[in-house]
Amino acid sequence: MATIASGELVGLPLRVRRRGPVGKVWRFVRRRPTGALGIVLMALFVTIAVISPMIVPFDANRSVGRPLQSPGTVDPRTGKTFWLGTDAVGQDVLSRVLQGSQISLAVGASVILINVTLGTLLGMVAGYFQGPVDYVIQRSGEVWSAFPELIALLLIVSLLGTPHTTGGNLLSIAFDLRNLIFAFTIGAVFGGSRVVRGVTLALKQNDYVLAARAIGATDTRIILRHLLPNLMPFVIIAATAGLGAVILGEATLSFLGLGVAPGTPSWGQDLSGRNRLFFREAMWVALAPGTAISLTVLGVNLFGDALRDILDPRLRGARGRG
Amino acid sequence: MTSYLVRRLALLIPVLWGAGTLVFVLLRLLPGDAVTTLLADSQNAGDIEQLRRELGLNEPLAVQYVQWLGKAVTFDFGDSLLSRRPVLAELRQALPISAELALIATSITILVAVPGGVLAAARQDSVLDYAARILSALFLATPSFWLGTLALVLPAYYFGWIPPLKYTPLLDDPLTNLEQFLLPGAILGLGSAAVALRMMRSQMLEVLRQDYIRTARAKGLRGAKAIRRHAVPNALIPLVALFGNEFARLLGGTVIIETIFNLPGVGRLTVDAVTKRDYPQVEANVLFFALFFVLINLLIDLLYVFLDPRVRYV
Repeated sequence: MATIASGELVGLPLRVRRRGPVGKVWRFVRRRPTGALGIVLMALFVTIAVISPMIVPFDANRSVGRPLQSPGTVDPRTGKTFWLGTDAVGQDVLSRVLQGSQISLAVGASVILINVTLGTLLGMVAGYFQGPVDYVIQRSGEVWSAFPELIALLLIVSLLGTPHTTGGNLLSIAFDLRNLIFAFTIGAVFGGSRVVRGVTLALKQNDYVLAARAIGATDTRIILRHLLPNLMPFVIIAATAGLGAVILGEATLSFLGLGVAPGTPSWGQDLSGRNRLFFREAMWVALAPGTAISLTVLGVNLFGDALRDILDPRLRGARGRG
Repeated sequence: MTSYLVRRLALLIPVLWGAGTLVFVLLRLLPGDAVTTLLADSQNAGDIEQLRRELGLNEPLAVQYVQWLGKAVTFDFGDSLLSRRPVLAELRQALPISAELALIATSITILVAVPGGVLAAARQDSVLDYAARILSALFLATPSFWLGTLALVLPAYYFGWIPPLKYTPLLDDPLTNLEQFLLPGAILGLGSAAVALRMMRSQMLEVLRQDYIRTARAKGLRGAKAIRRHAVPNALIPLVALFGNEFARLLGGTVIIETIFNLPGVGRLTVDAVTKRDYPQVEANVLFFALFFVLINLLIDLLYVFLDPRVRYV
């Protein structure tokens, strides 16, 4: 849809193409096909996580049929189909995969939200004021990074107790899983604050900070009004990059039997325990949760990459990066 | 340079002290202790008390801490509460396994990521570039435990092949040993290669736009040679840190892959020790991991003096 812009009125051969919403979406899809795929996968993941209690065909927490039924088997009692088969204890694989998304999203999103708030705050304080606060944060970060990650998670989760959730909405699941979320948050905050600190150190050298100080702006005002908005792109980029890692981390911990309590529908959990004994005969039990993890993390990462291309000022305009 | 080295080495002390104290405190806070594991079936309170006294677990925490710290500074970590063997002996037994795995994995990472990243960048937006990017995005998103599971299940299902599941030391039977290590090494290596390839590619893209590449081409260097001689070495500089870090991380053990492929490495040793509350073993393993981690990072930083003439430490 091309309209003639006012440029022509003053004799300039200026034609500006105005795009409608559909045109804009189409342009984005053409320019960043992987980013578009990421957004679709992300949207699918979030939607399924939110509505899964309503759409699961069977109760995901209970044995609803005979064990190890192959995909497409019809349950003789209820007449319903096990589209992805049943697992080692006769639970419906599809229901568990759908409901497992709730745990991934609840843990992932909570950790990232806390990390964005806390990590940004700590990083800005450390980078802006430097001095003793900075020293303590930096040294604690060093100790933490020299600590084997999985062992740290394992220690914290065993200390606080393996969390159990009976499902429900995302908020109540996140509350049930607070121990797990706390364990992941510690490591994430150290990493996140380090990124923010580095950027803050660079940003505060800018003339506009000096100008603000010259007209008498307080530290709080400089941090909130001048530094924070300029920091946001980096924070958003670091946060999406972290989301995939947390989802993988939760799956890994649950796979080891150290994340959510046994029996809870979680992708990592479904790839371990009794199910493992039957993977050779009943491959669908292994394929479904694993594919779910891969597609979700792939979606999150692609989405993050597209976001980085758009938000990172150094990459703005660079096409087909990363 | 010397004063830099001294300062960096001095930094080891607070890091090791911090990591050691952290693990000491966290372990003691965990419910239960080694005695509960050892005498799980025994109902005799007298037995339990006696064993606790023998192992020094009934002292006040502060006393235990001071005793532990005093010994730890002389690298005496005591005996495992479970096997009663020195913890360092246990660690020495597990370390070669994790080291071999780390070496194979890191080699695979370098062999895949460097040429892959260079080709993808040199032929930007070609089919090859897209293939490399999509593959690395997929590998990045696939958890190693699922890949490990598939690597065991699929060949068994289609070809009836299962990798040897009893650990054979390299010197006893090199072929069986390699057959056993190659698959887990490849899974770990390809996982890291996904990250490294993306980084190599974006580094190359940045370097290829530099003036010195244009100069090299202007003076008549063929494309491939300009890339090999001038672009690749410069693009590789930041990746050295990545490879080094990855190696250090793998040396600390990879619980998942070691568990799936039944390799008794450091990762499994540590997790077993945590679940059985074998305090000295966990403490020693964590401290050695921290030591390796800091030293390897220092080594990388020193390497930069040679790799990048702009880097100077004073």
